[in-house]
Order: sequence, then C-alpha cells, then structure tokens
Amino acid sequence: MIEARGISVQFGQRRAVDNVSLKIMGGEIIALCGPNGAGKSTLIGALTGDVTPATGSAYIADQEISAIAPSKLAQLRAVMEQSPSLSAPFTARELAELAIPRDLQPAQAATLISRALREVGLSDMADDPVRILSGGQQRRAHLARALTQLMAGRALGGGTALILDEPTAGLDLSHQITALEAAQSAAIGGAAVIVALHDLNLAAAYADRVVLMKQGRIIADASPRRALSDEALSQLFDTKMTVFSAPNGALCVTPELPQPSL
Amino acid sequence: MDHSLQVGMGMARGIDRKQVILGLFCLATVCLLIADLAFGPVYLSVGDIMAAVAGDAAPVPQTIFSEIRAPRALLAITVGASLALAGASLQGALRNPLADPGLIGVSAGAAVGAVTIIVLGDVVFGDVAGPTSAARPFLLPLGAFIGGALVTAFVFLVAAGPNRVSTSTLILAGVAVNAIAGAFIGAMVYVSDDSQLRELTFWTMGSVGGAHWALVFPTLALALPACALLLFRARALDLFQLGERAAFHSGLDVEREKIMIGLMTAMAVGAATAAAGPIGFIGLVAPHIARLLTGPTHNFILPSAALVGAALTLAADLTVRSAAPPAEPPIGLATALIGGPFFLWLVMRSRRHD
Repeated sequence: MIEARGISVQFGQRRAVDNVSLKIMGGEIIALCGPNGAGKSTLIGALTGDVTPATGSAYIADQEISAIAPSKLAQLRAVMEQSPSLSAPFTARELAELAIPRDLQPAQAATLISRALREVGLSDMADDPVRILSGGQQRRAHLARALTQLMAGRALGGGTALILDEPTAGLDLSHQITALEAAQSAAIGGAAVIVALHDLNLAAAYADRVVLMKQGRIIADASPRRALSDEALSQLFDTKMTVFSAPNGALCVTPELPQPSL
Repeated sequence: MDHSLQVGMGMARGIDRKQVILGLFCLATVCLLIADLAFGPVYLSVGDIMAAVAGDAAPVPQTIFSEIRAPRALLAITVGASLALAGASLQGALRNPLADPGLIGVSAGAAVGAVTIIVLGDVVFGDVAGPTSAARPFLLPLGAFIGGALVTAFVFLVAAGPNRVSTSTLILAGVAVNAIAGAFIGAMVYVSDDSQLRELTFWTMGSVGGAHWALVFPTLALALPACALLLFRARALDLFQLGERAAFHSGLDVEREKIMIGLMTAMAVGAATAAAGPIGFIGLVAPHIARLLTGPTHNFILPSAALVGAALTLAADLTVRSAAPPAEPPIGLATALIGGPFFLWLVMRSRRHD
C-alpha cells in the first residue's frame, strides 16, 4: 500500500498540489489523469520521496516515506521517471542492472533482468547500447529498469509499489499496451501501481480506479466508468468530450473533433 | 545454440576482455615503475633494485634507491592515481566529461596556499617560513593542502541548499573561485622578488623531483584512504549516470554520495597537489583513456584510471628526467606530450568504430 495523507506542495507562490489524500492498495492500478500542470508529477514526486510536502505526509507499507533510507525505499517502490536519461553508453542489460540492490544474488539478478527485458520486448536488444536504440525503445529499456527494481525489491521482501510517470509517451500503440500489461502483471504480483497517463482510453482499459486532477486537487477518484463522464472530462479539459462504449466493449473517450474528409 | 547461452558467453567474453585490459594497465605500470627506478644519472639494474628493496645492495645504489628513486617513484604513483581517480569520480558524479579535479577549485586553492607561503611566508610567519628555514619544505605542502581544503569547503558551502547540493552551482562556484585564485596569484607574482618568482614558477609547473620520505608519508596518509574510498564508489557513479533523481529512485543516497565524493576528491587532489604542485591533464585524460578501453561501467573505469594515471605520471617523470639531464623540464609538459597524442589516437579510433 502507498498513501498520500493531506499532501500540499508549494513551489514559490504556486501551490502545485493542494491537500491531496490518496490511497492505493496492493494489487490495484490507478491511472492519474489530468491536463498539463495539474500536479500529477508533483504528487508522484511526493509519493516517490523526491519532493518534500509543505504539509501532510506520504506513506509506503505504513512507514513515512521521508523517514526511510534511500536504499530501503528503493526496495519498497520502483519508479520510471517522466523523462528518463542516461549519460553513459550502457547496454539495456547494464541499465537494468543499475536497479539491482547489492544484497541480491547475481544469478537471481540475471534472471530478473532477463524477465524484465522480455516483458518490455527488448530481449533481442539486451546487449545493444541504449544510446543507439530508438526513442521508444529507450523508454522501454528504462521501464525494464523499473520492473527489475520492483522484482528485486519483492525478492528481498519489498516490492510494495510501482510508480510510472507517463510510461506510454512516445511509444507506438502496441508497445503502449506492452507497457501497461507490464504494469498489470506487477499489480497481479501484489504491487500498488500508479500510472500517470494522458490516454484516457488506455486508462479506462487498464486502471481499477481513475484519479482526475486539476489545479493541484483531485476532482474525481472512482472506477473508470464512474470517473470518466462527459461532464467531468469536459470540465477537466475545458473541451467538449464524449464518452461511449465501443462495439468491442471498450470505454472510449474522444474530444469534439472535426469530421474526417472523405 | 540457444539464445541465453549465446548471450551468457558474449558477456563472459566481454568481461574477459576488460580484465585483460586491466591486467595490461597493471603490467604497464609495473614496467614503468621498474624503469623509473632503474634509469637516471646512475643506472640501477633490476638486480640492484631487487637487492635494494631487500636492503642489502651496495651502499651507493642502496642510497640512490632508498633516498631518491623509491620516494620519487612512490610519489609519482600516488599523485597520478589520486588525480586520475579524482577526475574519474568527478566526471562520473557531475555527468560532465570535461570535469577535472581543478574544476571545483581544489588545485586553485592549493596554488593560493602555496603561493602565499612562498611570497608572504616570511612576512607572516617570520624566520620559521624563511627560505633557509628547516620547516620550509613542510610549510609549502601544508599551505597548499590547507588552501585546497578551504576552497573546496567554500565551494561546497556556496552550492549547498537547504536539502541538496546543486551540481551546477558547484561548477559555477568552482569557475568563480578559479578566477579569483588566478587574480590573487597574479597579484602575488607582481609583488614577489626574483627568487620568489623562480620558486613560484617552478612550483606551479609541478614536479615529483622534490620527493623525500618526510613528504611522501603524509601524502600517502591522506591520499591512500581517499583513493580507497573513491574506488568503492563504482556503483554510486554508475547510478549517477541516470541523473540525480533517478539515482535516488534506484536507492542511492545522492546527497551523501556527492559530499563523500567531493571530500575524497579534495583530499586526494589536495594531497597530490601539495606534494607535487599542480600537474595538469592526468585528472582529465586518464579517466577517458580508461573509459575508452574498458567501457562505461565504473567497476572497471576506476581501477583502470588509477593505473593509467600512475603509469602516465611515471612515464612523464622518466621523460623529463632523461630529456636533458641534469635539467628537468616541468612534468606537466611531459604528461601532455605523452598523454595527448595517445588520447587523440584513442578518440579518433573510437570515432571510426561508431
């Protein structure tokens, strides 16, 4: 379980997150959605321990996050950053190795790394330098790093939460699904999963709960069908939005768009 | 053959190659060490050296070995390894391939300390620091070390915010401190007399020629623990390549590591500069040579860089001593002349491989 209790974060004059409480249980996936600047990444920062809240606290496995040592915290939660970077020409495998804590057996580590690379579809490129991969492949390599860290944490008695800040950005459609299926299997493995997403259709398909944020506040926190309504989304994005069920049963969200030409 | 087995063998081959290169660096350092001990105005054979190490060589070779060449070679190794490890650590932690130990102001601070002792020593400390005083050979390195330590502490204080040390502020403060130190040294040069000017010029050129045991031991006492602690920072430096935020996400205590690396770097470079003056180029280039030959992970970069730094300094010392005896050109000339072309060749080679 990972939890925010009454968190506010202040950047100078601006209140980026305003008195937010949120609780994600193990096995649950929540999608964090909202317009740019709504406070999603700042809230995620408070939950990862990057950002110290002005008021309130974040908790993981019932411990206050700010009181946990970084190495211990890394066993409890794994994070994929919004814009991951890498300055050295590591291979995808070496990148994933960075997520391995010292206490893990090398043989076990190698198994976890191979599994994570397979989950993101990079097994064939494991020994290529990340630098020569495409942008989407690079993001998947970083996702594999986060998955490795989660599995390693679980092997050491942690693995409480997986936090992904826009994991699907820049990925092709099929790999967006790959990324979210990896998140799903992490949840099935018992982790509390937070995914910041801009694609509401994917949020509807994969999340147990959709949390909508606007101007630093949570304005909805419910199942996809309850949270994603025409009115709530139109108000959230200041654009007329329509929600409907597709013939295949999927929940679809679309803004008012021009008709395609013939 | 199944895929995972192939990958496994590929990894094993890769590691073997790196270990071979590390072994070659080791061998090169040992050969240069023997050469540095053997060559000079009086040639010592390997037999002489072996005997002298055991303490039962003939009196003349024994004295040359114990009092001149051994402390000199040991100082060269210490200085080279310290500068190279400090450079590798700073380049890694700051994610800046141009970082060298001078960047955060250690060398500049050491130079200010040394110049102060040379020019103002007898004014401030009286005869204790006078040119003929017995304490003079120790005051100079002590002043250099204190100068380096103070400036590093200052730069870190400027860069330290409430929660974190800002890396970019650290670099900017280092640049500013370097400029201020340069101005101060310029002023000291302006007011110094001829003999002070000469001493000052020679000090700023760097040399391991002044090595004697009373200087080598304190240098070792400071540099060795610092180098040992830097050698253990391989995982931290690998994680820094993700950026500070992701390094923290992966379990690194980023602030503690930055302070640790800053302090150990300052200690190693401060000790090296105090004993041998500022020797350029090694801290910048040795880590790059190591990186180009052993790949991007720091468990190989760090020991390789230390060995390359030591080998380069030994080679440079050997060169300046043999170039035009009994004169000794500054060692910085030779480090640049030997390391520069080799480094360029490596860079061009890696461009071709891209």
